[in-house]
Formats: sequence, structure tokens, C-alpha cells
Amino acid sequence: MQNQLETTEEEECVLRPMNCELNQLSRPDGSAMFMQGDTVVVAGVYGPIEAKLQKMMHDRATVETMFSPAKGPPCVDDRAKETVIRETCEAVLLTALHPGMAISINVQELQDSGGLLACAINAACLALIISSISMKFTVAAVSCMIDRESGKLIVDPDSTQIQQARVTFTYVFEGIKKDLVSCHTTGRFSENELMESLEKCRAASQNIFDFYRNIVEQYAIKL
Amino acid sequence: MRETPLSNCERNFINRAIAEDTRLDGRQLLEARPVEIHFGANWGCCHVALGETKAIAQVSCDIQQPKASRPNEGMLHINVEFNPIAAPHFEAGRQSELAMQVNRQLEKCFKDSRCVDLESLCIVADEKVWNLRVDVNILNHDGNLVDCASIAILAALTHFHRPDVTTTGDSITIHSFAEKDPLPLTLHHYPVCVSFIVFESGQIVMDPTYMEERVGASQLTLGLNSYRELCSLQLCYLGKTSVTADVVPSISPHAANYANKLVTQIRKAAQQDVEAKYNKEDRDVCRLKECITFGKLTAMTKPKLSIKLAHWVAGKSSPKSDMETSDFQDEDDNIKTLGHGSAELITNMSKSVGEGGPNTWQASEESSDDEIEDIEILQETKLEKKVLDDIDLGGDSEEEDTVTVSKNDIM
Amino acid sequence: MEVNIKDVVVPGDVAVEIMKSSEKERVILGPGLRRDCDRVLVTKAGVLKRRKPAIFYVDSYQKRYVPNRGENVVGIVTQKAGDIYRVDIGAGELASLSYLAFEGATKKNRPDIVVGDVIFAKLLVASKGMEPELICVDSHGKKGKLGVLSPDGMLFDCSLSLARKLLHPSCQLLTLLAKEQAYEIAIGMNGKIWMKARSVHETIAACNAILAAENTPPAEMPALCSSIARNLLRIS
Repeated sequence: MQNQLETTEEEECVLRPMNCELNQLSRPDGSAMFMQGDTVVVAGVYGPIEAKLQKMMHDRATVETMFSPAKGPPCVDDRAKETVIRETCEAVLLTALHPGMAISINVQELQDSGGLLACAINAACLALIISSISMKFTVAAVSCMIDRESGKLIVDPDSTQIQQARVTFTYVFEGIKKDLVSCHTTGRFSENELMESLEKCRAASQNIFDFYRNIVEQYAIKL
Repeated sequence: MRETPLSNCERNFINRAIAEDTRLDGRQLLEARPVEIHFGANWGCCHVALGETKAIAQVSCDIQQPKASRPNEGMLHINVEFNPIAAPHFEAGRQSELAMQVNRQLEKCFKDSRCVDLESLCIVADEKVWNLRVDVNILNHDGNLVDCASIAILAALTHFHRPDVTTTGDSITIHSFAEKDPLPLTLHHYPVCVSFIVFESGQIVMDPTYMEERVGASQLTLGLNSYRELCSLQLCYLGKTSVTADVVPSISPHAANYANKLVTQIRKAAQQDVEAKYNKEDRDVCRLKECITFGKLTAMTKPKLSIKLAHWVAGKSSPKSDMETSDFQDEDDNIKTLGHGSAELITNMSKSVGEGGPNTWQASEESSDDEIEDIEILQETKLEKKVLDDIDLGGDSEEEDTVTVSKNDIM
Repeated sequence: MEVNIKDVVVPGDVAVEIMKSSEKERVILGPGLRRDCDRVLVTKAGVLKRRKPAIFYVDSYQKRYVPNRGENVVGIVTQKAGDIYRVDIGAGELASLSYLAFEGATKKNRPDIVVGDVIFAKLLVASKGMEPELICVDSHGKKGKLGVLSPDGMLFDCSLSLARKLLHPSCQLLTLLAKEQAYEIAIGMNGKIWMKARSVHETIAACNAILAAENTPPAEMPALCSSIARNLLRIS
């Protein structure tokens, strides 16, 4: 399918401003407050720590995730996000290095203004980076949507744009070859739309990887 | 994970330091940590930092039937969550004894002191009232969770605005924020909690840190408002101790003064943000960004990025994909959400599609436009519960092949 | 991305230089690196460093301790279970410490240790999937500097990178600090520091001085020490 796509022209896309502070919380082994526009998420990681007996695996570490919403008790949506985050982090972590242990990843939503899942995954990745748990690669999540009326593809939409969405995609890429790690979609779309959005998000993900590297450069220099 | 044990040398050292009127962070015995309050873009969303202890509060509201005992009053629920992010020994989804105690203390301070005017939250007596819910999530536990949560709750309640409603006969219209300006809550008084730890030596310490809480002999929490009135009081013994309860009179004037100062700070912060939000231009300004201390080594900001992305188009599109594209001219393409945060389990398994998850695809290669009305997409993107769409293929002729998700089967 | 020595690395980077040097000598991959077929990949974010002759590792910021054999750690005794003590060393699992692993200890002559005591011990066994085991004697049966630490001191936590930095032979902070005041210190590789000075004030001041070194590169250490000295003099 990929070879059926051709680039014709370049298109302007806007990524919302990103803000981040690492290790803002004193208790977790690694934590990150990450903002993409007005979407704000805090992630805290503990690990490797003692695993609960019923969840212990003898050959690798258990990855536990917890996503808690800003309001109300956690509902099915939040459990679904939790699963996406867990499966993504399981792919990222070298769990075989810590058999019988647990790595606990906790994500707290502070404010949702579009692209919450992508923001949560990026925050979790930053928290894992600062906690120095061994990872295969870093991951970056990018969300995008297709506008209902114009059919235009918008990368990293905010909450007002999402109101007009026909389809939303969230892609997670790994940092080495930019291969797809996980993908979450809502709505109905064609194969071409999927491929187009995938390619665009792949290109946009580079900015998030650059952000990771810049922040590591900033603190690692002082080590 | 279990809590890190407290070593004897930490216990000895803190007791010795307190006896010398010294605290590890350099504070006076009756000095609280600095409070920082930041509000989010939504009404009633705030982030509070009391030293290293951090919490986030969010107020939400919906319309419910009132309790039979109080038919003309709205309802207020306070829920403090102790998630494992705050401390490794907190367990997810299980109410610990500490969580219950903190919840009860805050309920006493806010609900039982009747600080929110619940009568103004009544829409139709005995039928419909506003139900307020305050969710507090603790982000970091460094002692004195009650005070931090109480500041967060008070700030969130002061900041919160509910949508306006109009009643015409039997029907109620809830106006969106765009239609009618939202209304703030009426608060009769502003209570906060002020906590102290009494040490074995009889010394009293205000706003204890996690370490001081573990070493202390008894804990005292006063709920006070700006009129120096006592709203709640809790004294709990942390260990075997002979410390008597005559500490209350000795510290209550100091606590009242501090509570007054704190309430002024909270109200000022909330008022500033509310006024900024009334100003239409920066209505959606999110001040949570100010939580980040820029200039710190571990903080980073990146402004809005304009990037050039290659525009991808289908080069050699097969006739099949042409068909697909034409298919997407349907007007039924919107994302439908059926009830927030719910999942529907479809039990009829006879003709199931998409066992792995919800079927958001329509098998509609040949569906004609006039049949669209019959199509209902059951679209719930829940991964945990298996949602099976029951697809009924109606009509035999080629043109009239339609796909119907029979709704009756799931009701 | 391909990286070289002294570069800032993030997980997934390929360390190309290591493969080139491997033809001559035996290469040792330290923490933060792993071999994947014919490449060396980075698993932790930090700075890629090399120690002569061919030891490569990633210097990273870390708070949670993962036990390593032969490292000295500070731990808290949490439990007495039969003939072993269970010690919390800040790792995922409790470490065990036999009561025979003390100088001169016999079946009859047990060391005097109670729950809550702080000990300075060496890790004898630390492999993944196994319970870490501590000892308080060296191979000659002497205790050296290991053993129970006085309950008059103070215990505090720091990051693992700070503990490593303080223990580095070229770090002058502790020497410079000693010129200002007298103190006893035990730094565990697990990021727990036990410290005892003459008074409560001095202990707190010295603890704060050490924690301030977190974000100071070795070159700026003398400047930090002189500013601490000024502050200490002002306090005391």
C-alpha cells in the first residue's frame, strides 16, 4: 500500500506547544508532568519493585498501569486507555531484566483538551526515561483527526477541533525506525486515509523524539 | 508494595531536633509550608502544592433526584483518591483506612459544616437538583494530605461555575456556556483544615511532613473558617502515648489566624482566575502551565511548532479503493458516543463480527444511499468488554444489500 | 541514531564506536548497554562513557536501586526471621543478612541488632530472580567499616547518581566539607546516606550541603563547597 502513496506537495501542520517538567514529584522513582497545549497529564513510575504474589511472573517483570481520570470514578474508557498504555509500555521495557519484579506506571489526567491518550503515553515514556528503567527504545504518540466537513487531516488537534472530527487516530511510534507500536482509532475511515494519517503522524513524531533528546541533554550534562 | 520502614536513627534524630525547636526543612515549629494554587482551563479544576505534597481537584456536576429526606437541597459528594502515584504503598482501587479517615474528615469539614448553599442548587423540588462531585487525586504524598486536599477542595468549589438552567413547565433546559453565562456556587463560609502533630516530648508541630507524621505521637486536625469558627476537629493517636488532649486550646488561636490567611490566599487566587475567565479573550487560558518551574534543569518548554509534512495521495488507486472513497460520502460518518463511559454488552452471538473488540467498520460495500437511515452504528470503543455487533443482512437482491445492526436485540 | 562516547544518549541509540574498538581488546558493557546481534544498543538515557581499557557504560539519573554484587549499601533492619535478618536496602526485594556474617559471630555469640537499626553492609549475592544477600565481614573475617551504624546519626535518601558521584575518588566535596566541620558518613550505593555530626544543626547543614551537590558537575564542586562553607559559618 505504501508504494501507492506519493508525495506531491508539502503541507503546513501545527503541533501544540509542549511543556514538561521531570521529577516534579518527590515520591515516584521517575515522574513527568507533560502538557501538549492544554492537555495536561502527570505520570509517575515505580520500579523495579516487589510484585504482588498473584501477578508475579518468573521470567519477566510485570507491568502494572493505572490511569485515573480527573473527575469521577474510573470508567470503561479509562480502563481502555490503561490497556493501551500498558501494552505500549510492555513493548518498550526490557522486562526480562527484572524477573519476578513489577514496574508500576501511574498516569493521572489533570486536564483533557484533546489527544489525552497520546499525551498520557508521552508522559509515561518521559517518566520511564528519567527513572532509568532499561528500555528497548523510546516511543512517541501522535494523535490526528479528519475533519467532518472539509475532510482535512489535522495533526495534534485540540478539543474544539475534535468536536468536528469524523475520525480520530492515535499512533505510537518507536524511536529507532519509527515503526508503529500501537494504534487506536475511533470512527470510520478508508485505507488511504489510514495510510496518509499514519505517514503524517510518523513525520510529526520526530518532533517529540527531538523533545525527549533535548530534555535529556539538558539534565544529563550535569550528571 | 510495602512502606519503607522507619529506622530508629530517623526517629531519634527527629525527636531530638524537635526538642531543640528545629525542623529538617528549616521551618519554625508553627510554620506551614508555602501553598501554591494553579487553576486549569475548566471551571473547578485546580492543582495545589503544599510543599512537596501535591493534589489535583476537579468539581463536576449533574442533575439528579434529591434525597427524600431533603427534597429541596442539592447534593455534594467529596471523594479523595489515594492512587499509587502518590506513594508506592497506596493500592489502586482499594480504600485504605487512611483514605477513609481523610474522606470522613473532609466530609465533616465541608459537608457537615454546610458551607455550600445546597438550597440554591435545587431546580425542581423533590424532582431535580444539582449533584456536585469533588474529586481529589493525590499526586505526591509528603505528609499532611488532609490540609492539602482541603485547600484543593475549597479552591475548586470557589472557582467552580455551573451551567445555567431555565424551567418552563415540566421541561428543563441546561444552557451551554456559550448560550448563557455560567453561575458560581454560593458559599456561606470558607473552611480549611489545619493539622498539627504532637510529639512525645509535648512539642507541637504545624503542617507535618511525611517523616514527622510517622514519628509523631498524635495528630490533630482542626477545620476552621475565616470567621475563626471551628467546623470539625479530629484527634487521633498514632501510637501508644500518654499525650493529653489539652493541646487544642494552646494552638487554636494560631490555627485560626493561619486559616484566615490561607482562606484569603485561596479566595484571591480563585478570584483572579475567575475574573480572567470572565474576560472573553483569555477564557480558555490554562494556568496549569505555571505549575512547571521553568529554568529548572528538568523542565523544558517548546513553543507551538509549525511543521511541514509531505502530503500523501494515492498514486495508483485501484478501482476497489475508488468504491471505498465514494462510500464515504455518507452523511452518517460522525463519531457517535452512546453514553459516556459505558459499554454495552451484546449477548446475541448468532452472527457476530469483530470478536476482538468493537466493530466500528461497516461492512457496506454495496449499500445504497437510501438505505442509510436503517443503519445504526453501535460504536463503543471499549477494549475490555467485548462488544459484538449483531449484523442482520436484510434483502436478497444485489442493490438492496443492507447491513442492519438490530438494536432490539441488545436492549 | 548513532552515538559516540561522551554523547547524550536515549534508549534505542546505537553505540557505533564500541563495535569498532572491539577488535583489539575485550569489551565490557556496563549498565545501560545491551548487545543485539552485531550492534550495541543503549537502554538508558544519560551520557555514554568509557573507562580504560574498554569498559563502556551509560551514566544516568536513577532513584530506585537495583542490587549489584560487591556494592556497599546502607539498609534498615525490618525483621528478624530465624537465623537471618531481613534488611530493606531500597531495592524491589528485601535482602537477607545472616547473623553469622558478622565479625566474631558464632551460633552462641549473636550480634546485637534490633529491628529499625541501620547497617552498612556489602552485597554478597545479587543476581536477578534471586534474593540479595548481605554480609558485614570481608573475606578475611574482619568487619572493616561494615556493621551497625550508630542510632544517633541521621538517614536520608538521595539519587543513585549522587551517591556514585560522592564515592568517586576525584570528588572533593567530602574532604572540603570536613575542613568546615567534623562528621561521620556512610554512603551506600543504594542512595541511602547515614550521617552523624556533632549537633543536630550541623547534621542538617551537612545533609543539605550533600544534597545540593546533585546538579553540580565535578568541575564546579569547589565553588559549591566554598558557598556551603560560607552558609555553614553563618548558621553555626
